[in-house]
Amino acid sequence: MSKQSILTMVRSRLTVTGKEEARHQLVEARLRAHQENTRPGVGNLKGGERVEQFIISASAKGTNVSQHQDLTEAASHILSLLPIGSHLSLTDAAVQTGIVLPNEQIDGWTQKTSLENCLSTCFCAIAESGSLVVRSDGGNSLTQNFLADRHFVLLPKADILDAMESVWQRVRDAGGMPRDLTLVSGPSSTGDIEMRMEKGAHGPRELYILILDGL
Amino acid sequence: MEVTSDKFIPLSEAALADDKLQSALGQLSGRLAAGRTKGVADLPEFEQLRGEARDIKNHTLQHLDLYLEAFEQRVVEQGGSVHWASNESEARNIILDLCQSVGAKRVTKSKSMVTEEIDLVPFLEANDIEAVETDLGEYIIQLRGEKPSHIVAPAVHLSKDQVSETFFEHHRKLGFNEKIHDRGELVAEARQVLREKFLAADVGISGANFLVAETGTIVLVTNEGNAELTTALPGTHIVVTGIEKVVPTLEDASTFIRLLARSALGADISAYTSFITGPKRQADGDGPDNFHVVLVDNGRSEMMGSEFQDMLRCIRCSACLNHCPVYLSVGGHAYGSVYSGPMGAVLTPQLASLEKSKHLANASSLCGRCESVCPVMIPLPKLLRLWRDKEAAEKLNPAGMRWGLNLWSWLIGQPRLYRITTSIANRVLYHWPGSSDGFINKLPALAGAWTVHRDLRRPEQGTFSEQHRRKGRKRV
Amino acid sequence: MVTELSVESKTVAFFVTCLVENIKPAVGFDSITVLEDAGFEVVVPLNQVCCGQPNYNGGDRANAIKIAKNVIDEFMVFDYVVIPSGSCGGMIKHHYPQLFADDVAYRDKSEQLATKVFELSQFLIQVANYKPCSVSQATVAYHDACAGLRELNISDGPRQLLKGAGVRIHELKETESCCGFGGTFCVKYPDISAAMAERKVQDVLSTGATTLVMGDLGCMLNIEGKLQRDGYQIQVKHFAEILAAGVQQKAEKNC
Repeated sequence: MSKQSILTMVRSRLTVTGKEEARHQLVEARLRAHQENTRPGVGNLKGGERVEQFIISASAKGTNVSQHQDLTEAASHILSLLPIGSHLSLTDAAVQTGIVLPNEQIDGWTQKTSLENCLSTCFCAIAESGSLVVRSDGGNSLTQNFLADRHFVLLPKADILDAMESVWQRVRDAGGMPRDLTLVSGPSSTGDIEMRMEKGAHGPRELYILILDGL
Repeated sequence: MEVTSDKFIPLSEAALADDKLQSALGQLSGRLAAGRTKGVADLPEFEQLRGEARDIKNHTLQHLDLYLEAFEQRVVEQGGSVHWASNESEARNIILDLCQSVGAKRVTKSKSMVTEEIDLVPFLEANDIEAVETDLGEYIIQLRGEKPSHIVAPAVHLSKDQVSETFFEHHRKLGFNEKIHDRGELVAEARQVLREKFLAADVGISGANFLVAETGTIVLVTNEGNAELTTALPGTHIVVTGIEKVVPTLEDASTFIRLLARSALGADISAYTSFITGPKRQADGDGPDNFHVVLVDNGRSEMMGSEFQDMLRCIRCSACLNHCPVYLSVGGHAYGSVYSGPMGAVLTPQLASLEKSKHLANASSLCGRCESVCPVMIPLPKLLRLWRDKEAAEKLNPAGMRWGLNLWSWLIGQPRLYRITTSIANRVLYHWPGSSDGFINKLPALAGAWTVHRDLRRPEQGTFSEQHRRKGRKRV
Repeated sequence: MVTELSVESKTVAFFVTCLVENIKPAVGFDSITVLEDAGFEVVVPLNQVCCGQPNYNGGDRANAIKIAKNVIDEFMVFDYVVIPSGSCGGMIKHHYPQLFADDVAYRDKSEQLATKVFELSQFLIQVANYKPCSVSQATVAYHDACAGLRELNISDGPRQLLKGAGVRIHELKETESCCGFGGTFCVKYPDISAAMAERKVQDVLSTGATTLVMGDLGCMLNIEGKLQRDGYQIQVKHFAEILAAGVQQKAEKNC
């Protein structure tokens, strides 16, 4: 059995049997404690500084970030960005926010099809790296987000966390890791041709984050 | 692992003479190494994180058996399966069985160096399964029938025009009748072609940058978004990974994420960092029904408990390649292995054979730049020296060299004889014919290798010891 | 082997190195000139030859150990050992203790010796607190030799000394890139080595400097040889030569 032969080889090289109580306890304790390692200063910001760091970091990566008082403002901003005649699909979670958009501009979406524009919500965001945190559950569809050319995301200001470590805390409090949790830190890009960055490899070409100040 | 590293000398000669490649390599250093320098300067805590990353990996390796078991347990709890493969042949067969068990005909792949190592794609295709690389660089070289020349940017050796030719040749049958020269448009064409593949795939195969034992999670770091489309769209997701990729907790993974893209090119984070835990759940809008992790050994466990265990800390960031003067001179293909640069020179003899790859550890000036940029502080020059020791012990290095070193050692053990010998040599070289103004331009035998490309300063008249005596100074 | 010597804190033992011994003794004599100007007596032990790098880097650990033992036994008795080379200095200070990982006696000796071994610029700054003599010298470029840089952290030291002598430095774009010497590497893989040397040459040319300075003779011979072959009239010097010229100029002024 390969599992046994691999583990046996590893154990013999480490000169252990694998039954040592002390080792088991050490590993279990470490997994339970999930202690933080050094967090850079830029991951420890609060309040206005934190929001500013998020905007700076996200913008530096080619993300378009805007701030709005409420969903109404956000809706009108989205509409102003949509090319004439184009339509927008909403994830279930986006629909649940109650955002009001003209029906004639909303499309449904069926699985496994490309789409021009998608509006979703997110789990939270990370100021340190200017990242959104999106999940495969919670009424958003990962593939819907990634198959879109243009991805719009609603982000309540209170959901801008300082660093990844705070995300893990929130994840644990909410019952553990979902099937997919992705940090989205900019639009899709590639440097594979002559080391020059080009946008829109496979994921969205454009990413718009609408920070909702009032929420 | 199949390698052509025994052809290092002719491959590197060809590489040095290849103007297109030299131009591409010139770009590489300017973009990646320069990027890293800036990225490191932007993070005051960088050195501290490096030390912690090394310590996390060392701790994990010391308890690798337990962390792998913990990881497996968590994956299974989430509804996934874990398979263990001792060698590449087993790994290939496991993956083939998993594909055939769901009647797969079409596979999409996101980038995985381990799948290159085990030569997976040709094997699948020989078994009637179409397997398409979706990482743009991997896709390009797949079309060209080439191996990757860099562990992060596989097509770095190609020019835009070469990519343009390749796309025109292969996309025509798909209805793309125009040769494209603009980079952005080339990317757009690849996006269109591969979108169809993503949507039609039965199985998605990925690698894993990290495995998190705490939660049974795999971490995928990309910029393109192909990892999500590869792993979330098909009904089955297969992860292929080396056994050394495990880290204890999500917090530990965070430390590595802070170092990975920064070490590769200076970015604080890549566009997408995905944490995938098991198959589709009820609350998910999408996702695969089947989730499999294939843990591959293929020579890694043999490195445990020796000085080579340090090499298992590697997170495949490519910093060592991007700063290596030898890699930057000859590129990745010269190494004859999918792992090139300093990390390839250390890993290839282990995963393939020392005999076939003996040049790799020797084609190094041991400048140490690799170690200085490694985010997990792997002592690469020390490991290269260890391979040189093993080669000498197995008599794989040239007899002339062993003979020469023994002679040198014997000679310098007799200082007086040494001084006499070198005085004679000094005279010979001082009067060496055929050159002028203080320089010699042609020497015989091994010394001839020096004068092929450069002159040698003619030695002063008299060795230091002779001149010291002539000056009336005393020795003690 | 030295049996009796008055080991005062103002005496240094000079480790010549193979390349200085055989190709450019002037670097050795200039180093001694500078050390004497710094107020130290310099002795040159007779029974010294090589630090053992070729064997150590060539898979010949057994002989490297033999050679290292001789060096340790010869030089242990001194208070200071000064070497005009970062790579030989790094070999003795950094690698000798690793060679004796399994030999407690020699590991202790090698660690003790390591505390007394200094590369020339390190000695001048850390121990001698040397104030260089002014020298008239056109702007120079400076190359950081790899071993000294990575194993002994030699970077600011020689620059500080050169600036102290009034020498302006025009930095290379890639000051930390290997020149391609690497001991036997340059003759085992001559084409790759030459490509690396050529990049260094182009970098030097781009500074417009007419003199290139560094602290290791291996690098010097390599880069100088490439510059010559390419037909460029750029001088290559060890920083000891520049500092010694300053001492010489001071002496001439005082005559």
